Amino acid sequence: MTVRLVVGLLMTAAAFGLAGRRLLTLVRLGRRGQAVEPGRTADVGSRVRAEVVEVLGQKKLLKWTVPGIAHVLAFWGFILLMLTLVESYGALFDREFHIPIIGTAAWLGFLEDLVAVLVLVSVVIFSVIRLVHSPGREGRSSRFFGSHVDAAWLVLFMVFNVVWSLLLYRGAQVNTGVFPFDSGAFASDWVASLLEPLGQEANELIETAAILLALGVILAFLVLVVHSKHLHIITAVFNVAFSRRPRALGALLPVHSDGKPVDFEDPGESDLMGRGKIEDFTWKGLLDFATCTECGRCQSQCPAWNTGKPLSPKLLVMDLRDHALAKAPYLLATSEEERAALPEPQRAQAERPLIGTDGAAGVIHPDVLWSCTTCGACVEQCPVDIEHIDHIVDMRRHQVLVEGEFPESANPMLRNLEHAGDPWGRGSGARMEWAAGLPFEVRVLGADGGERIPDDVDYLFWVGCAGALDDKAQRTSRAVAELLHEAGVSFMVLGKAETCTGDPARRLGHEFLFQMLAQQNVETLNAAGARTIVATCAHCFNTLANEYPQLGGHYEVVHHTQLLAKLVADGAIRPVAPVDATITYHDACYLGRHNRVFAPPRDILERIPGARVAEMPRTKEQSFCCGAGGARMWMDETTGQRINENRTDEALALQPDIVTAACPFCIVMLTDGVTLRQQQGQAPENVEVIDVSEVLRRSIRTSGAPAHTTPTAEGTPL
Amino acid sequence: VQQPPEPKESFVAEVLVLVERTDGGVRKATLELLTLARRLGEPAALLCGPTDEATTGVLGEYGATKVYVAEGGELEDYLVVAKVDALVAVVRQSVPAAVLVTSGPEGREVAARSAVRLDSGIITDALDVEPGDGGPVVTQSVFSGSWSAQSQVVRGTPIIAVRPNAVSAQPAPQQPVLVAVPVAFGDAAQGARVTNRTAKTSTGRPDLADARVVVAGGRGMGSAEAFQLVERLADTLGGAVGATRAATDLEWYGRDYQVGQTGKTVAPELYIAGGISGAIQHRAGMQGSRTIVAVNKDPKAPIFAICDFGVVGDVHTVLPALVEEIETRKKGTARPSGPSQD
Repeated sequence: MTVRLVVGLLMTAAAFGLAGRRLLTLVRLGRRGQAVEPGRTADVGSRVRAEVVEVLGQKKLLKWTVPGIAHVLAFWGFILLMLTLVESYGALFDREFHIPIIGTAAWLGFLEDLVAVLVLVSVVIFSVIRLVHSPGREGRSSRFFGSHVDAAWLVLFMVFNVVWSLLLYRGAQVNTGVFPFDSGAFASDWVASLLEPLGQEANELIETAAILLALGVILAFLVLVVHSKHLHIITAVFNVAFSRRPRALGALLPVHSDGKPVDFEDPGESDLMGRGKIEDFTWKGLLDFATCTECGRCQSQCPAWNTGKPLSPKLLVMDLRDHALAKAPYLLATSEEERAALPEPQRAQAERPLIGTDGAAGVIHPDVLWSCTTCGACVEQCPVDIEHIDHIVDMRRHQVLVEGEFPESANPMLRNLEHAGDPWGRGSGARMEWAAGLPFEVRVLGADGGERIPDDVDYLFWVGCAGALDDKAQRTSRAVAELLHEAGVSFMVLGKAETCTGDPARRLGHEFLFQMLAQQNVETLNAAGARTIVATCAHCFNTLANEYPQLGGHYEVVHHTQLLAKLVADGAIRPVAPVDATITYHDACYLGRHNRVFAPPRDILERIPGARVAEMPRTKEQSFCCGAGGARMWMDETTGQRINENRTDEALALQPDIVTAACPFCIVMLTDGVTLRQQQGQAPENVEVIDVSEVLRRSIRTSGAPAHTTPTAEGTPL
Repeated sequence: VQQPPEPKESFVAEVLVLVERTDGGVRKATLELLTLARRLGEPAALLCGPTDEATTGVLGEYGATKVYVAEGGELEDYLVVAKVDALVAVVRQSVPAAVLVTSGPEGREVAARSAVRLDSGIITDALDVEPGDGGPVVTQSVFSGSWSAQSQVVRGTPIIAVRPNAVSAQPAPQQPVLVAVPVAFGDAAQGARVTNRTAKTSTGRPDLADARVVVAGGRGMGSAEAFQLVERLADTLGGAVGATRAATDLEWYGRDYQVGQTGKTVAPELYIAGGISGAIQHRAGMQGSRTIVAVNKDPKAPIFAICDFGVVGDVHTVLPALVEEIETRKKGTARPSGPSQD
């Protein structure tokens, strides 16, 4: 007994020492991060709910059924096996220890054994998944590509060891008569029946050896956990608690320095503009990196990774974590002398640029940083609520605002936004071209001398740059205008007073330009007394609804598909003329994933007589980006397959007559893809790409012929 | 406040032009600046680096009455700042009425740095420069061509960066006087050193950004081979070749020749668009063109809403016919009345 106790306690002390030292280093490293922006602890109710749903309920893991169930087994298994840990530690002091009150009940013995067996089952499932989807077999398309595969196998092996050593101990206990349960513990009883022939003495010996083995294994596991990606079993609880609620999608956060928003009118001398060094991240950022389990669900959905580009959200987070840990000795050194005394490789970490090419020993390659479309598929998937997009945009902000380093092809967009207020440089004079040829007058704010939106106006129609200037989006604008007119909804537009909302500038990282444009728009909208706004562009919609409140612009913003769906449901718009076509709908990331508007566009299509709606395999929350988000619309895409072609092929596989979307940029990208495939002879000539509203308009016309298919712009350049 | 000219009988103020050189010659944009400078006063040129008779000859032919020559290793081996040192030295010595540089990456930076050093006003992206009371009046196109702005520099020596193709270069032969300028190069002159120069493989065509004529092809060309039609037409007109993003994505033509939102922005006198639908992303790169001619088989293509002259037809028949007609007219001096092009 004494041997047991002494060895057991010594092992425990050693393991707690090793693990504690590591945890202390990690906590100190986390504290080197920036202060987090306010609001991370606000709304405690939703945070508690997140812990219940995401941690205890494992909701995000269960998005994938088989791996999800395996994880539920392992997670709940380990929580319940804590009971056996209590029993084991008790037995160090008293061989016949049992948990008070319930400690000898048969159901508890059964539960503990059942859980142990189920954990073994989960190990088998995980092993099969890892064998079938190993990077060796599947290469880049494996979600484990680039993960620390050996460490993951070691973790599985250790879980296996935890269970068999526990059962060995319990089996021996049964035979030596110190087992707390007379019945119920079926697995322990079975092991006991195997050990019984060895005799009483051997079983006594096995009992002592096995309890030390079982404790040793679990203590070794603890040390392994804090030194590996398995750290998530500790950090995920905190990461979920402090993550953005309801999710890190929709709005981007303003630039924060030292936990306070940077005032772009008069920035402080030492204000950080984004993240240029690993220690520029907030402690929540560093916690994100530490929590990544390398599961690769993000990678499996990423449009950049799936089309052969170097960005994988998982590898990005892993690279940042590995760098943070490698730079830790430098960051945690308390004096310059201590730093100078560090070995060369550790000091070299301090010299590495956060963003840089391989030649410059950069932590993140610029091509990785600029490949992101901010589609949010990674954030949507991440079971531990890592905020990939925020980190990527923060690094872009530093590159743009401090280094002035970004893809050259984005330059004209920025210049045009500054000079002309739209990305193409057409200027405010062209803003009303879209309305030419409409059979009614579109009311423009200020046209009759009034400075405020009159009370009889139901909606301010935010046309958007694309809606005003892009040929196809102009048709959408006209369709929406006609439908609203038809339904008796009165609306008004800003005309020349509208400028780009700033979305592409913000997603590129040019926060300064975003603030300029956004401020101007908020002033215009507030001066006009705007209350309800309808927008056709998913990006405008997101910015107006979610980001303008940051600048004091609070409006009720709806997307045109929401408004039209309501008008159809209310009977104000009656789709009567059949549209005999197979139609598929592509979810815009900034409408769907970022803003959860999934149903309205589908509701509209379902109501159209004759329309056969077909869903693509990747749809709604798992929809695949068109390639235009994150200011990618304005950059060259030269690596790998073009994202829009990937998505177009998915749509064309349904053999649709019409591919619909509800965002002008998706329409541009998909049109491009369909035109290309038509030219290559891989798509029928009749396939067209149009907005949902245009399909609806066709259905309210009995004549059949759409009114405005030819460009009506009369203007010629100077 | 503009420096008053020296009180002297029949004094004509000097207008200084910063010469941009090409391999063994002078950029056409510089000759345009000399032509502009004649409107404002007596053109003088600043030549950086070793000089030769051919170079000064060309400058004289286009009206330079004086050529300041600044020499020094810094000017050849280092970027921008050495030229600023030279320009500032000449301006301090000769007090010109204005300084004209070409509005390009280097010209604009030299202009900006010189303006700071001289405490002078600066205007970039000028499309025209006219003499006026109290100094040159500069025209700029703003808000993507929807407005034109006239402005004057009211402080120091006006430094004006003029876009290429603002005027056409006119010869006005002079015998230039060569003046050597001693330049004291500052430390900053050695800030960015040129380590290597690789000549770009020449196509024999003018640079896309400078060209007076651009012939561009789009998806409607149908194949990489069909771009030979575009090249032939460009060569017939002495123009450059451009392509849409769709065409460069399909690898029908080099990415360096992409015109549009994510490619080059061009503003030639004549832009011929073959098989280009005219989506706004393309339009963003060529909307400043003076005359736009479009050939497309789709009468609904948006390009027809912005072109000055449109042909609904197949590029594969229209372009060869156009080349043939131009060739015929070039050969025969007569035939004044062919198919109307007015």
